[in-house]
Amino acid sequence: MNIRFRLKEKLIILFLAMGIIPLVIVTVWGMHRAKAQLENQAKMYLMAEAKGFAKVVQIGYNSINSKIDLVREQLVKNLEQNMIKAAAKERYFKTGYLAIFSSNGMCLYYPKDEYKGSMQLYNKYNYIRDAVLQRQGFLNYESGGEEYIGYLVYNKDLDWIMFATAPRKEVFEENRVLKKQLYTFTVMVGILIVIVGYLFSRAIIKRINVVTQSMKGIAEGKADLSMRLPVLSEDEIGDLGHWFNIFMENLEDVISKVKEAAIQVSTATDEVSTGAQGLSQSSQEEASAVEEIAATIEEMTSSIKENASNATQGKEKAKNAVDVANHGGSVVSETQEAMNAISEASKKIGDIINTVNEVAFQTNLLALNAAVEAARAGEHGKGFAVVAEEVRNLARRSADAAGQIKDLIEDTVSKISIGDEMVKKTEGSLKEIISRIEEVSQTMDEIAAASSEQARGIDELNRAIAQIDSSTQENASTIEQLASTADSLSNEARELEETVIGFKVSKHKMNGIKTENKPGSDKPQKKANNNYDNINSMNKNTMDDPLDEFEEF
Amino acid sequence: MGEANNNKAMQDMEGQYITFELGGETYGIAILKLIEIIGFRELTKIPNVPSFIKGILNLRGAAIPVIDLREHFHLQNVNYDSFTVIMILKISARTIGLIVDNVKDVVAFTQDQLRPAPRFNSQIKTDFIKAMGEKDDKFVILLDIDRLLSDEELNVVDGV
Repeated sequence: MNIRFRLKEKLIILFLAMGIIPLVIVTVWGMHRAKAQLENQAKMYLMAEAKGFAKVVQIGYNSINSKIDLVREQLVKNLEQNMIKAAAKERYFKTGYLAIFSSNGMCLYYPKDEYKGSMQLYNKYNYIRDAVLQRQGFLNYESGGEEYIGYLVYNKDLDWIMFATAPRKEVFEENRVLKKQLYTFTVMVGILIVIVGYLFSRAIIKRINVVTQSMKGIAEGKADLSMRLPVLSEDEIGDLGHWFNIFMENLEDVISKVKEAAIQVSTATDEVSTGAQGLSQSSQEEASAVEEIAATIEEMTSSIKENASNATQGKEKAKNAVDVANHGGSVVSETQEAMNAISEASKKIGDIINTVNEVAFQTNLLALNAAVEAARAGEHGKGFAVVAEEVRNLARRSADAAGQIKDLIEDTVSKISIGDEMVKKTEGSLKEIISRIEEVSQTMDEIAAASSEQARGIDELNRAIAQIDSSTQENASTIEQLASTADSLSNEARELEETVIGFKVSKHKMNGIKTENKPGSDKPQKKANNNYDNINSMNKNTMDDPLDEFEEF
Repeated sequence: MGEANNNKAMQDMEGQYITFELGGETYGIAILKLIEIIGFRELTKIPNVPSFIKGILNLRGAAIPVIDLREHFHLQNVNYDSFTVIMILKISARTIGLIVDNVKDVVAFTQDQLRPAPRFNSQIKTDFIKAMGEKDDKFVILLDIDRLLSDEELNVVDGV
């Protein structure tokens, strides 16, 4: 059965079950019992009447003591007639009567006269035949659609079967009235029970409803946890209210603590989330930095390898350069020798030129003196003067040529000396170049060695970087997990906060948390509040007074 | 002094000159004043004489006092080399040697090539300059050899 009853209906049903069903059962049972009793009584009554009548008949017969048959016969006849008269007076209930039959079925008396002294009844009705056959005891039968109760007594002296009978309907006539009254009573009591039950259940339901409404208000309304149920009575409902209030108080305590904790958890998880995000970002940056480092190291590796090969090549080139420079040095010394030879030849030429110059000078002097002589000779010396001039011109020309040659030679010599200087410088430079190239070669060697060392170092660095990379990635994934955990925690904290925020908590509760921190308060509470203390002190910087924010909710 | 006078003087000065170098400048001396030109040779040093008198030259037996014209003109001293010459001159009936840097040429100046000697104030003696001869766009300082040495100097020379 899926039918669900409300408490009110249940109570009513209970009342009905407890009141009306037993009532009906009792009534029905009582009626049944009464009916059986009535039947019994009616039977007894009919039996008593029949037996009494039979006794009277027997006594009448026994009182006949005349020995004279005639008289006796007369007396018996009288008795019979008297008794039949008496039988006619017999009435049971309303229409019950006494009939007398002889054992052969002859009707001796019946309330209706037409059947007297005939066999009509015997022939007509089965129940008369049954009665005649049975002679004695109770007989229940049916006639004309009606039930009857009868009692038979047999008197063998007169051969009379006395049959006292009455309709069952009449027997239960009284019972019907009683039944009616009983039913009326039952119905009335039932109605009363229903009314009383209704009122009673309504009273109970009303009080329960008060609690329900309060709870409903708390539950769906503003969820005000500071609300309390009115405790109006000292019965179970009152107890319910009282204990509910205590429960509410505890709940309020818990909720306020949860509220605070939720906010703190929310803040903390937010911080954790932010931290995790920051961490994640920094680890990502780290990862990218590591990648960059790895790439840079790769580049470095290749450049170092290139360096090494370049250094080797450089060394070979330096060697070549040294060879070339040495060759250059020998060429330079050859050049120097050649130049020295030129220089010496030039000096010789210069000496020759000097001689030529001197000759030209002397010639010039001679020519000049000749010119002087010619001038002094006047007209006579004119021809001579011309010759002297020619000689002078020649001398001058040869002197000029010698001067030119001298200039050229001097130029050559100076140039050779410059060249010599240059060659010397070149030689020095070449020597320096060689020494430098040797240094370069040495440096190249060192570079090659350093490069291979670097390559080894780079290999180690690479391994370390790979480790860093893997641990960074691990870190990153851990941080991501942390971040997602923090996020989900944050979300859950927020949900919790949102859930809890709906609850109204009385101010003194919130303040009470603070005041309860004083020493001397209950130990478990103190322990619990110590956590609050920690959290409070932890959040003191971020949140000056979390309770202020609570009050806004 | 009139233009005619000047011209007359210039006309007198026409003739052949021996040109020589001294401290980068070209000087000229009338050719008829010259006796001989010889290359520089070692001189016999005379003690206790002014420094412009360089010594005594032995020319074919005759002792000739030699003056460094460079020092006489208060020019910088130059070492004597193979081109340094000594000009043997006749000054006021005396035979004197003049050391010059270099003898150049015999040049004949005509009247139109001659310019009067520049005249400065009385402090600066320039009367030993006869005229300025123009040659190849350059001036040749023509010396009056007779006025080149003062009487005192001549006396000193004579004393030697």
